[in-house]
Amino acid sequence: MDSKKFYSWLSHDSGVWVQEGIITTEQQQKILARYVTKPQEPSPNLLPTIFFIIATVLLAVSLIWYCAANWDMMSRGVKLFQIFTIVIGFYTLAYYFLVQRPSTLGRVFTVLGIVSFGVAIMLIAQIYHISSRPTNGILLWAIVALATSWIAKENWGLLLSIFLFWMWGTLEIVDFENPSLLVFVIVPIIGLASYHIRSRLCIILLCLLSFMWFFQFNVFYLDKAYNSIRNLIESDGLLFLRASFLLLLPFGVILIAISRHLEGREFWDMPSKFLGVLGWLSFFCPLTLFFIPWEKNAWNFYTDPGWLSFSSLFNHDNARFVLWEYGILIVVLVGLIGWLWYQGKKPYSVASIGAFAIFGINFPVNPGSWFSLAMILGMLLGFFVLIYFSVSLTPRRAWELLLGDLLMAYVLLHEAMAFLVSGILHTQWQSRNDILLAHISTFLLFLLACILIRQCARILLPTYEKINKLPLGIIACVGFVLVYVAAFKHNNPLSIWGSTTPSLIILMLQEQVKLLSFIIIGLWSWLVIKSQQRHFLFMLLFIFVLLLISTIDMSNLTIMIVFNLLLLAVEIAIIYYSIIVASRALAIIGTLFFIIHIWTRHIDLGWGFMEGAILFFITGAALLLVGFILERVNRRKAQKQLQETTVVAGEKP
Amino acid sequence: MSPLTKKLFIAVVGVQLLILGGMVAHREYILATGVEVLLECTLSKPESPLDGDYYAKIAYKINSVPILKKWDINEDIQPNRKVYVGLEQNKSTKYYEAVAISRNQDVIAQHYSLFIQGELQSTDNTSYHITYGIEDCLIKLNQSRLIEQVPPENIAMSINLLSSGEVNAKQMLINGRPVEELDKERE
Repeated sequence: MDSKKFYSWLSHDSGVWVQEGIITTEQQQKILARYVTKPQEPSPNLLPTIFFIIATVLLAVSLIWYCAANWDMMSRGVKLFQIFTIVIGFYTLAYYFLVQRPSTLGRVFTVLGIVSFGVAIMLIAQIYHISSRPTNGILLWAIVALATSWIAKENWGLLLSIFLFWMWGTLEIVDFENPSLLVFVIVPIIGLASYHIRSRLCIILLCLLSFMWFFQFNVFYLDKAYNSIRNLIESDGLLFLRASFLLLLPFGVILIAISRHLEGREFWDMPSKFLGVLGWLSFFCPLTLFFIPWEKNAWNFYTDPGWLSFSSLFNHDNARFVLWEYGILIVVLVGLIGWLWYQGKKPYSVASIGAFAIFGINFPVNPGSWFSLAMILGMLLGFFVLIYFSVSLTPRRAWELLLGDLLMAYVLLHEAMAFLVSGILHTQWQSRNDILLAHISTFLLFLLACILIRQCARILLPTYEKINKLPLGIIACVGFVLVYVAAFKHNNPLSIWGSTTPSLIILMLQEQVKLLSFIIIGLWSWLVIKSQQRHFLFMLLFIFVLLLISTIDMSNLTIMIVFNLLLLAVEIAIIYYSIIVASRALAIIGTLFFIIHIWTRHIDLGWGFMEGAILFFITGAALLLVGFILERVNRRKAQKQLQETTVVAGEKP
Repeated sequence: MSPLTKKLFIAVVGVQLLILGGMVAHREYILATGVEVLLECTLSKPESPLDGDYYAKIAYKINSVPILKKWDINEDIQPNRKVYVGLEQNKSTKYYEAVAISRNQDVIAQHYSLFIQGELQSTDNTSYHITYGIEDCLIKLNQSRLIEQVPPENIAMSINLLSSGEVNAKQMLINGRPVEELDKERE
């Protein structure tokens, strides 16, 4: 019911309530006063604004084009006269349309004035062949854009200045290897200006700018640090890059904590959500990257105890800043969490992932497989916290719930790629038995743990009924593809426990399998006790057992049979789950997987064998069985619904 | 707009014009009062397609200064720092060449009537690599083709040099004649 209809219904019925003596006239007026609909302001016409934006861009381009086309024919004096005329002209027009006859044209000419100033710097530099430090010109332009936009309260100009500052900072680092400390002054000033002119978009872009500068600074200084202790490690040109990613863990949690502080405030609501998303992405970024070393060079990161250990960092002047930075980040983080607690905002999610950022990875990097286990734990914790606390606490954060689902789907997709690539590459590098299956088995256990985590969060939340089907579909596809790859016949497959001389990667996978099995059994047992969906859970148990079997060393044929059984179990699980959640899309996906599976095996194995007759028979029989099960489930569901309807109908007077 | 904002707006625009005017005035001052000096140079091709036909990078002979020319052997010269290079004319070629390098402007100014200010980019075992802010130049495609046909020893850049070491590139010369002039003659 829309507000007008509701108000008319309320005013009519409340009159009846007064007549019947349920409420007094005073109370009726008070109730009605709560729902008085304010006259709506006519929505602003966006067309002129769009025209103005296009016009500004076109005029700016035409200006540059005109100068470029005729530049060669002009004398120096004419060129300079033209440059000054354009700048003065635009600013005069801007002043006129901002002060004398206020209109949007004032904004347009202000931006054109700012653009013309930048063009003027470039052209003067060109006339006199000035080429020393072009970044100085960009910085000057950015400062002018910031000052002019702030005074004129010009949103577009401020956006331009943020872009210019980003360009300046990046070029200073990339071209001149000179990260300027000026950024610590620039960021608060832009923040103040954005708040003053009430530009949410500028605040959001400023957050992004700060994030990028934080990352660039770390990369730069860690590169320097790395060069100074290069003799400690053999070779890995990108090691410093990985280390700078690790600093994103506490930084991400700080961003989330700040977003919690700002949420619900009138101006800050949208920027706070953006900060939250940025924070979660920062948190998951290093976890996703360091889950498994899927390139050979990354091994040093896990194996070398010299790199990034406390003693190593303390002994090098260039590297000591990492410890300081990490310490400052932790102090800020603890302060922010304490403040949230003090304000009664229940920062459970921030506190739990914050604790992980501080203690979980035992920073600086602990070498070996423990580091990759910490990444798994962090990821599962992150998923649970993101999905559970987003809905269980007030205010409810629907965006966080969606983010949790999408992140889980993305991470699984990313890790599937990483495990596949890692499996293939490690097989090549080590010139030994095929360890692709070891990678696939471990990843599938991780996938199963993620599904169970999601299920646990759902069951804990009675209000969380709506399921985002897209992430589920992606997870199903990822799982299917990996099992599908493993179900082919492999030569000399090496299982996780089958290696007599285990390499680092095998040791890492063994540790991961132990941890994941422990987590899966725990979650599964808890779910069996709590959940009504016992059939689904038994199916998961079946998949888990098959997966565990696949990690043991077996003959080629047995491995193939196990993975084909697993593939079949996955397909049936998807189809069965599609009925539970009433998802037609999922049912189609499951059926499609089943058909692909059977046809592949048919071509793979049985083409020359009795002309495929037996396999056709098996295919037909399997389809018959699946159809029978589905039909039975549907019938039971319909019967249950019928019974419920009868009971409800019987209760009616 | 409040009266204060109006004043601030006018002030900020005024500052912008002053900046631009200052840039022009400074360069004109160098051109008007600086000593004209010829430097041997070559033309390098545009570094990327984005730079277009007009853009050219000039490589000067004095971009590379032998380490042996360091004025004070104990002086530590680090990259990204200002340096001063003493210049002396080669009597046979008429071009000016780098004869000394130091971070100390006074030392160089005491011993050389002409010196140029630059920034040390990098160093190797034999020489310092220095830029002077005159390496970028806009030259028409026809002109750059003309330059490419001439032996490097016949190409020079005419620059104006202040007593403080500040410099402004003026024009490119082939056998002592401006490239623009030669290009027009050819057309």
